[in-house]
Amino acid sequence: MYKALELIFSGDRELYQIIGRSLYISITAVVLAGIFGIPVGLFLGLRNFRGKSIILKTLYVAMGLPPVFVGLLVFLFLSRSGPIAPYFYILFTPLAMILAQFILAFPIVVGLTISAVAGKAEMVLMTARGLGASSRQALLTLVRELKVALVTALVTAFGRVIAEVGAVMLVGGDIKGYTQVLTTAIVLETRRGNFSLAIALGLVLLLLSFIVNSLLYAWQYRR
Amino acid sequence: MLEIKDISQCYGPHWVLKEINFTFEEGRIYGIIGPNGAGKSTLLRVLTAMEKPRAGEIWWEKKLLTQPIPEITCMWQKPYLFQTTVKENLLYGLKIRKWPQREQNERLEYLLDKFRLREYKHKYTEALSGGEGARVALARAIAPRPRLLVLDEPAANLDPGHTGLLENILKEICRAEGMAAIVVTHDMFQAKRLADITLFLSEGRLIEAGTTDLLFTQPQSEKTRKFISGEI
Ligand SMILES: Nc1ncnc2c1ncn2[C@@H]1O[C@H](COP(=O)(O)OP(=O)(O)OP(=O)(O)O)[C@@H](O)[C@H]1O
Ligand SMILES: [Mg+2]
Repeated sequence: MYKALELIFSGDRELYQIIGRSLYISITAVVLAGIFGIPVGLFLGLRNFRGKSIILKTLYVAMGLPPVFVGLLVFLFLSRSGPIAPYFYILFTPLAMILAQFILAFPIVVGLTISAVAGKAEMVLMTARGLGASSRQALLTLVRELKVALVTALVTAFGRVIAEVGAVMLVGGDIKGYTQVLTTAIVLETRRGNFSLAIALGLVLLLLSFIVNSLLYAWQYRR
Repeated sequence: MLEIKDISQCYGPHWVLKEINFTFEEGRIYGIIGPNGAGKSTLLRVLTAMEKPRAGEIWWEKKLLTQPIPEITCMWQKPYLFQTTVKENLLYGLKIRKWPQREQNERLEYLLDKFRLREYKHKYTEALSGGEGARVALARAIAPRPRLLVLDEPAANLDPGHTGLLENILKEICRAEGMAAIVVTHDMFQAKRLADITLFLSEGRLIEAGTTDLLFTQPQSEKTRKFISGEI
């Protein structure tokens, strides 16, 4: 335990590279999930159309997909015998890991956006339009009014992907110095009996989620 | 100014508005009364084009109204306040209309005094009482100087003192600026005090409409008579 803390505070180069890579991959995946997922969630939350309930059911299933299974699907999709390998071969790269985490984060962002919209979208839109806003301006107002819920959705998705092992292990391959991230490194170091490094990595993971959630909390209750 | 022609509305099999015809004129205050579920709020949503009617047309000064327009502003039955300060709520309609900064400030100061909201200027809306919130919603709708103001039970959360304040402000602004107002109210006495013309709605039908004095003293319809004497 003492050695674990020493590793963290001595600025162990390898450790910090792993942290940086984890953050880079998960943040990129979540930002992309936000860019695509929030508009999709707004659309699904605001519009009624035929086939919507099937989409919603699929979405709820997708929200609970086991990460390993998503990893497997992405693996098969990207593998040498998969459909896109002749054009792009990105298996065992950070890009593949971003893709897998994006697939995990996307349904969460969409689902939580839909439930945020369901609560009050109609009231907000009617209020904005009743004060002279165009439909575009009213939509912007809606996003502003939902910002707490939307940021919470992104943080929830981030919490899921940063802590996930199965998918990144499968599609990233846990290659040292290239695709190794916090969770996969914990698995590897524990297996090798390198407990102090494993504990250090675990502490960092804990600390990250603590920091992110405290920031969210502070922001929500800032007044 | 605003003409509704043969408006009907239904949700599922249930007809909420039935063939309503009426013309609202400039500078007048209209009261709409009627029992719960009569269709008053629905009529407001339809005549402001927030909701598409099943049948009929709305005309705004010789133009067919299919989209909400900035000349009409509304306060709904359950007002929603934006999650920011009172000041930002009041400025919302002015910013949308890109008023110059100076005029925005002048208008803001005027409204804060008029609606006795000065001490809440920088308060977040979550922390307001029901009546304070209602005054913010009202002031916010009046702020951009609409040609037609639409209010759904504006006094539902106000004490008698503030109800009187609201009525006086409305009359004053309508007289001074030529604004028209449509006010839905449960309170017949409020309609009597406030409205030039009163409409009585029941079960989705416009039963009777006329100058307020006449409607209350000589109702033409038996239903209206029963409603204003408190029998239904
Ligand atoms: N979106 C909706 N979907 C289905 N039914 C609705 C909807 N909105 C209103 N109704 C129904 O239409 C009828 C008229 O409702 P409305 O809100 O217009 O009445 P109101 O006259 O405003 O009543 P109150 O005095 O209680 O506010 C009611 O029976 C109500 O249940
Ligand atoms: Mg109503």
